[in-house]
Amino acid sequence: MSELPPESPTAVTDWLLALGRGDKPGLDQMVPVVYDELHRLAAQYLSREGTGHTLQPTALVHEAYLRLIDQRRVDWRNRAQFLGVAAGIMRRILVDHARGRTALKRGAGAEAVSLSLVESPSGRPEVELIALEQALERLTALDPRKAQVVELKFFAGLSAREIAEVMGISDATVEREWAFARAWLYTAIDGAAG
Amino acid sequence: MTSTYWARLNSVFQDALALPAHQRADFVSRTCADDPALAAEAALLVSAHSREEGLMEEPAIVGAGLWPSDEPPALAGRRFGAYR
Repeated sequence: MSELPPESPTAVTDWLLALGRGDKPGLDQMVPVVYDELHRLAAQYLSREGTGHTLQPTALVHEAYLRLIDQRRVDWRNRAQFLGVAAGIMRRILVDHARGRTALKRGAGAEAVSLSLVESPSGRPEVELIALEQALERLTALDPRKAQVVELKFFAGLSAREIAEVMGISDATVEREWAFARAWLYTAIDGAAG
Repeated sequence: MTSTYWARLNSVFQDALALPAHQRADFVSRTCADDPALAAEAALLVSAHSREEGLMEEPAIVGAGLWPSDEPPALAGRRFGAYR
């Protein structure tokens, strides 16, 4: 990819390092820049208009990290913190995108879509994002840690190892929380649709 | 829902998953014999787990481009561009 990031890696890296020291303004300055970069990468992925550069679905947050952060100045903790922030932003981008498409479809006079499970490109059923978001907000109220695992795994595509680093828990705990959260979300969505 | 209920639901679910699939239903009803609501919800979760093993294994963005499915793919980029 030839386009340059809108902000210099120096500035974004400074904000990330500030965030690592517990400085909240660092986060406030960093979020819009990470949002723009992820938004651009997500749009590129969705429109499949890559210029010979094929993005993997799990690579978007990593790509944003590589482009925005000066690797020489940060350690694994800073990286984990970045991935945690990026996951929340990916969630917002994808849910907003799903809402926009629903509004577009309704606006065009098509019948309202009420399906909560849809076919994914692989042919397996996949959850519909707006129904999932509603269920995930309920799960957050009951058990924020499980909801965060879902955000990191499903929205950001992070591996269990990376999720363990972001959250400061063991890989085994990640797997257990994920198994429960997924089963719970599925029954919550299924119940709401039925 | 109490935190005790939630903690118990979680531990019954995890313990059931550690068992071979054919023993799980029995285990859940035995372990939750004192609480029918807990037994029912735990059974529902355990069965959802075995039924939907592959669900949500692909990142959300993989499914985000195709829903609703009759929209031309190129529109996705333009919708994104209009945001913010």
